[in-house]
Amino acid sequence: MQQIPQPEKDDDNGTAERPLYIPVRFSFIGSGTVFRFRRPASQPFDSRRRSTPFSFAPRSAGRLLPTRASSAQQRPRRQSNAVAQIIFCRKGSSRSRAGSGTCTVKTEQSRKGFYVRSVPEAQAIHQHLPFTIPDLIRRATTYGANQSAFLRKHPALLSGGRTFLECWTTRPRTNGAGW
Amino acid sequence: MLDDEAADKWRGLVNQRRQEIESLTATLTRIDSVDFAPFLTMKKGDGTVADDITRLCQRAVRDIYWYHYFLGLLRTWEAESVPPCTESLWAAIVRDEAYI
Repeated sequence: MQQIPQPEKDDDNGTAERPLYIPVRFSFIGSGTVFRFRRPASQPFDSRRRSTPFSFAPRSAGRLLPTRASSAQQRPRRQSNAVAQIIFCRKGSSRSRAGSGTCTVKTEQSRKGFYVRSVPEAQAIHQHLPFTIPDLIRRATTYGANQSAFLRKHPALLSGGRTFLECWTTRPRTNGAGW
Repeated sequence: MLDDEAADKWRGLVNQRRQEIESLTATLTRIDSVDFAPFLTMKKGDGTVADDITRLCQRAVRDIYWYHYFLGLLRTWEAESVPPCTESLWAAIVRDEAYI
């Protein structure tokens, strides 16, 4: 995993002004679309961290992609002193599924050089964006087309489907050249 | 089995339910465009109108999704006359290359 550069230590008991760390890449990831920070009262308040709900497109590693229905007030602001921040949302009932996905994403992002910072106090409030019937139709059509292309490319993934070996043996033989 | 026989079966199912799905789509699209809150208090029989709409959605959304899913699948199927795996196999000189 890539090491995150740390500011150099000084000998003045931390009174000297430390250089501001300029962020390189941001990553905001979550399993929901809208999150709310519930900061414990004991923790110091970070003025750059918003306590109001905001929304963002999940898996928008490297840049912020505000979702189409989010208002300007709900959009997240860049945090100038963060290297990268990945927000994970706790899901109440599906712990195992969320856990495995979270670990995978964390590992992937760490390997890409992101500083993975878990924010356990971020909780989904499940105020998902409106999903209309045209959205449903668009998604179904896209998934069907992709699934067709995918399964035709990898037919062995189908139980009882044509395997690669069958494709091999049923190749139209012309003159035997090229084998 | 992903073959022409299966594609014919999907085509038959899609054509058979076309009218029904189009009607359901129109109904749900109308529901999308109105405010749902009044239905929660509007009584109908033992429950509310919202219960009826919820039951309709539970049945219709699934049907609409799978109808358009297979429609998209069939369009792609018809657009690609030769399976990509076979294409890559034909282009391969040795067997292992087909896996790349």
